[in-house]
Amino acid sequence: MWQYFLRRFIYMLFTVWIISVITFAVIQLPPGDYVTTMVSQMIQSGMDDLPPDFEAQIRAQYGLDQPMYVQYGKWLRNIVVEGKFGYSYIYRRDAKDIILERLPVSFAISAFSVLFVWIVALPIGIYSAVKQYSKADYFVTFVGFIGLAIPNFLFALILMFISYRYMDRAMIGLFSQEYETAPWSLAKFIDLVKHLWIPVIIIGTAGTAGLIRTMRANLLDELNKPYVDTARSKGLPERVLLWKYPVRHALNPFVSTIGWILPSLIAGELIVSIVLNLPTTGPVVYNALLDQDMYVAAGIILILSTLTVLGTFISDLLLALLDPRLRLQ
Amino acid sequence: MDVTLHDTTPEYDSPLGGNLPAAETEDELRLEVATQWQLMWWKFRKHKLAMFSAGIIILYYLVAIFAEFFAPWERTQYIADYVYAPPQPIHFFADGKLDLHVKALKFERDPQSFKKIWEIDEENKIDVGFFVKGADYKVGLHWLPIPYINDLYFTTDRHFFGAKDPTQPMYLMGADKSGRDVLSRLIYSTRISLSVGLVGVVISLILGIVLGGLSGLIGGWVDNVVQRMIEIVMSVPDLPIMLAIAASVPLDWSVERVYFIITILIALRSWTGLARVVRSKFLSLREDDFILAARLDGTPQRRLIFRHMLPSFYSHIIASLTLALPGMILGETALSFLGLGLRPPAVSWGVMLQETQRVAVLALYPWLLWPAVAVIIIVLAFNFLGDGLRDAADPY
Amino acid sequence: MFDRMRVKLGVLAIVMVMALGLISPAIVPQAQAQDSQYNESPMLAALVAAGELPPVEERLPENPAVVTPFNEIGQYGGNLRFGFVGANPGWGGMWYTTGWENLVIWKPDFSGVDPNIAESWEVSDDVREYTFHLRKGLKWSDGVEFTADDIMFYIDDLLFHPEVHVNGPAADWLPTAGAEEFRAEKIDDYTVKLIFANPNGTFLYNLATWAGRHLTWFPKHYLMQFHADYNENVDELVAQEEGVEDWVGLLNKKASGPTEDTQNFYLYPERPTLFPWVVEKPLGGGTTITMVRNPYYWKVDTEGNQLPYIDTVTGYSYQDSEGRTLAMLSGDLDYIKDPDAADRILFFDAVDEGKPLAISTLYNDAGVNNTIHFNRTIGDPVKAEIFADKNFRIGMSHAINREELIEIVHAGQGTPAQASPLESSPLYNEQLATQYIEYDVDLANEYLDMVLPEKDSDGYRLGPDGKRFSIIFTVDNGLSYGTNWVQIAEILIGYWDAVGVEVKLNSIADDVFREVRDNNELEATIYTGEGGAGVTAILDPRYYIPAEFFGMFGNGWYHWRVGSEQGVKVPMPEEYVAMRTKFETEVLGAPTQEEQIEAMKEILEMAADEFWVIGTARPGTGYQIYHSRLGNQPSEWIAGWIEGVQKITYPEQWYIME
Repeated sequence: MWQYFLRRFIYMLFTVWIISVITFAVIQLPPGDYVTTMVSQMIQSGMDDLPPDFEAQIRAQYGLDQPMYVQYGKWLRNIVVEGKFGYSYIYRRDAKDIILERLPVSFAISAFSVLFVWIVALPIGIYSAVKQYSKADYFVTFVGFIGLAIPNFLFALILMFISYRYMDRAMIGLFSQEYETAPWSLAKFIDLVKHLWIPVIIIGTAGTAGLIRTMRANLLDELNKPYVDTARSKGLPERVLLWKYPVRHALNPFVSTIGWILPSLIAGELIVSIVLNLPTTGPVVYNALLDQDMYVAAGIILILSTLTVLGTFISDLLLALLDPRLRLQ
Repeated sequence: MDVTLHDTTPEYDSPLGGNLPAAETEDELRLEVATQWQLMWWKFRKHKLAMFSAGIIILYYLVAIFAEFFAPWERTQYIADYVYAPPQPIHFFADGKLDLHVKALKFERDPQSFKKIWEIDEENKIDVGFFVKGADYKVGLHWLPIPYINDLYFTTDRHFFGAKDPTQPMYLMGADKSGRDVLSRLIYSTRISLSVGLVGVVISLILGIVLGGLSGLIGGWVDNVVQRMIEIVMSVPDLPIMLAIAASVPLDWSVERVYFIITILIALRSWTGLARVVRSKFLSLREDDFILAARLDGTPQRRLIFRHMLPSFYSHIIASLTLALPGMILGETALSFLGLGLRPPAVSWGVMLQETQRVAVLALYPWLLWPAVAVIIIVLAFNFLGDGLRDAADPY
Repeated sequence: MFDRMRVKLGVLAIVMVMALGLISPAIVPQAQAQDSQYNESPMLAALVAAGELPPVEERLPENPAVVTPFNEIGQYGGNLRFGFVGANPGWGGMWYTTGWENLVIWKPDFSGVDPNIAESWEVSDDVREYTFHLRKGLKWSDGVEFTADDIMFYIDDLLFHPEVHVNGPAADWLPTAGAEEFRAEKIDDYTVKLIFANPNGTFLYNLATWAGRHLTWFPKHYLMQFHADYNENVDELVAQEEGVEDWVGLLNKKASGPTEDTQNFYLYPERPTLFPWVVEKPLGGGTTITMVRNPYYWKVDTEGNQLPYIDTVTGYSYQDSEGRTLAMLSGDLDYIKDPDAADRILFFDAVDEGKPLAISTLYNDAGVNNTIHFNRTIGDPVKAEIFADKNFRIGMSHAINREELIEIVHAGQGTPAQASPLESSPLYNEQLATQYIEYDVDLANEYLDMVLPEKDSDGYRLGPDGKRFSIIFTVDNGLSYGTNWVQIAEILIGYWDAVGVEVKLNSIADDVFREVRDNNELEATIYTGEGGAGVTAILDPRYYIPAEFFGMFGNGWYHWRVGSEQGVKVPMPEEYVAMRTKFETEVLGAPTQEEQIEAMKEILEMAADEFWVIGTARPGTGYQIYHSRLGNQPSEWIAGWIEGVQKITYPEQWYIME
């Protein structure tokens, strides 16, 4: 057992390290660096008379004139030794601070979305498996899939526009202005819920389709198994028959893959957050990538990846604890 | 998944069915002798929505291939006075007779807001019809960047549908910001957007089968390496990585090359799932009775893989690929939204939808959203088709 | 850029008022409210009562600047909600509303400059020496007095410091030629004399623009601690600070300049400023930045009320401009900078629907909406030669259907024109404005046949080398003000296609665009059309004389002229060098206003013969949306970078109406 644990742990560290290298390399791919972006921005704003040596000078001040492996080494050293994820040129703070500020919101929205997905997808999945090929089956799957089919960004804009047209106030961000800086209260929570439904529906509906499909397929598999026949032949009522074992069994496979949900939720969240102006990690990554604020971009990607790897690691461990056969593999 | 025949009647049509067997003996016999593909087809037919979806998808691809024929207008053709013109309703009768036509539009501009106030020009009737004459154009596979195959085209001047005088305005889905026909552009954009998915699927298919196959067949350290690779790809949030790569596309690249890199990017999202499926299939097949039998018979490894193992899960692969396609189509639109996808003058659904990312469009020119409808329909169709295929993939 | 120009404000003022047709109340000469009691915001009065702040008389300078409100005396209080796109409050537009105080300031009608931080000034006869008298008792936002020492700190310890400016003194207000010989003298605590090596006639105008900010930007008492000359132990501070490698980096970061992004200002609440509002809570990782009134702000209205009227400013950061648009429409914002022309109908409709919004008319200072550049310094000699051929450009210009372009892209607003000063400007040149603007395909072909007579089987013209003459038209798609350029380019390409010239669209992001420019790989492009209103053609002659930064028709010449390090340099022909010299000496160095304009007219005559760039159309009127509760907004105003964007509407006298 311990050997298995140790081996998996070393694999995990190795994976995270590779991810850090890839991330850092990919982030550096686009031409130019933060100084390029900054100078572009200044010129765009009208400052066309920058001294010729301006760029080089700032680059030196930021240490951006050093070779990439030196920058990578520094970055990794700071993460490991000081727990700093790199300095953000946009925010002029450590990337960790920004990530810590924004990650909870990302998680909260993701959590609500997962909840929404489950509430919507499981009944639809079960229903459509039981009533396979009926009109009702087609209808519920159609409803379940429609959210996936609408491009997220458009869905967000349309819902936002509808809220402006028919509620007189566009539901942008997480809070109304008056609650934005106010301390927590019931009213603030209600305000939050009022705003939260838009992102949750958009991110959620994009994920329901996959879950409906898995649920439906798993359940159909289960229902074809001999024990169901046996149970039925023994006169067990259909309802009990369905819920007692097949549904539970059908749920199993995707409980174990829940770790993989995070990256896809983050991806979905990114676009929705840009349109809806949500203070999540998505827009920060997006800006950081566009403006070449590389430490923030690399830092957030690394953290999210690590969390995913960690999630799978833990779920693997739990599985191993439950199922001794796995340890031997 | 073994090919030995069951004795019992398959219960695929009524999983909970209380009204069991009673199947006719003839039918039973038919099932006994049917090939795997026949069985799958019979099963697939049962999924009505999937059948219907397959029809829609075929229609889409036909439109994509013969876009020049179906589009009433060239994709860059425009009329300056029809900028943001609303859709012209089509009339079927004139003076009590069947006479397909639309009415021209005219506008007055509000001096303050510059808003165009449109009016139907009752005087100006524009006859429309099928197989109308226009300028000469090529139709066929001339647009494919593959030598020899792109010689497969013919030249014609007939369009499927359009105004009898091709210079007259006919905007059935309205006009865009440059006075171009939304319908025609929508038809042209189908080509790029649908092929992005196809090319992407081929790439992820190759990656998935090769890597998943190696991993499952050889095992050992190869398996370990591939497993780590999959883990890494799945752990890293794909969108930021795609953004970074898309942002680094060299600026002097032609539309075709940008298109290609975007396809690869989109494909990179989906090969891992396939690789995992392939791997686990190979793993379980290795132990399976019929493979063991074949091996004991002295079948060479290569034949074992290509004749026995792969065919047994072709259907699964096809189903997962079908389900991966809509994701790729949506991926193309998402990249365009972020300003990192295809760019004008290319016309794709993403490029067209990028222009609808405005409150002003929703409020004032909602007809520009037609491409979204096209996307929704095809994504749904692929999903239902994929579901049908998946159900059918395991016909026993 | 606009180096030397004899200043005769009176003449210029009359000229510009005539030019713009805008007459609005200017600032009243100061010194009338001397002995009267000053009033202050209740918010500050409370602090004074609590003993946390000295009384208003002690906070204001002896002789505060007096601003005449645009419409009426405002009320104190309220919160201004400002919406911007991105994570960058300054560049998002807050500079122009909450910052930007220089020694002098534009009059609201752009007819000349008024005293601002400087109380008065004298200019020597050779316009080389400028003596500024500062306001006694004017204080930084932390209550420390602003004196001549602050200016001297900037000049001696930053501008001329070999470690801060490694390659010698450089600043956007300081002419490159003779920068080393520039000197500054402190006469007394409130008097500074700036001495230029050469006559510098446009200096006061320069000072009123963004370029003038640095002279009054650096609080010595606060920045000393980050300067190695004043603090031996500065390295300890460097070690504590993240993201800086040395003390220069630290100083730059804390001071937002001189060799750093000025954006930093919005990150450090503790940094003293001279602006109406100071940062209270920076944006951080969140979506709002809050600013609060500067208790030591040194301007009053005509009744002695200390400005600004508005107590606090909240900046709301939006990821996407559509979110900002919806927030504005919903009445959740008071002001946004640069609402998109495409949203015009949306906002006018909203006003008609009774939303709490108001709109003011905005006059663009540009001569044309867009200019089209063919880079005659391009590396490919075949293309360079063709682009330099005037007949080629004439042909390409005649091929453009400008009326149609105006209808499609500019909602039918504007008239066809080449890049040139407006009809209302004293610099108007009819030839420059109207030559080659007719849409005439035959004429276009005639001219193009003189340059590229041969055609291939597809009807495209062949170059002298026998290959199809194909131009890559590179468009910067990442600019906030160039959102329709790709659309325009697509239309233009259609026109040129019709006359057999193959042009391919290459739409790229902003920083990539700059890289293409630096590498001089830019063949052809589309850009803005500055230099229309009044004498802006003198202040920003980018499309009238060669080798300007945005003169991309001669991209390599610019890099050659300034000796840039990263740009590809292409030597400029003698005659063009002579043209620049003529501009610098005869226009900017002319003794009287009339002579400057006369000399500039000669330059424009030459520009007309050269036909550097192809213009499209005169700009139509723009609009500015704001919340109807916002008082003291001008009903119409001239907007441009030179004019100071929103600063020319004096945001310190805006107020929230109850």
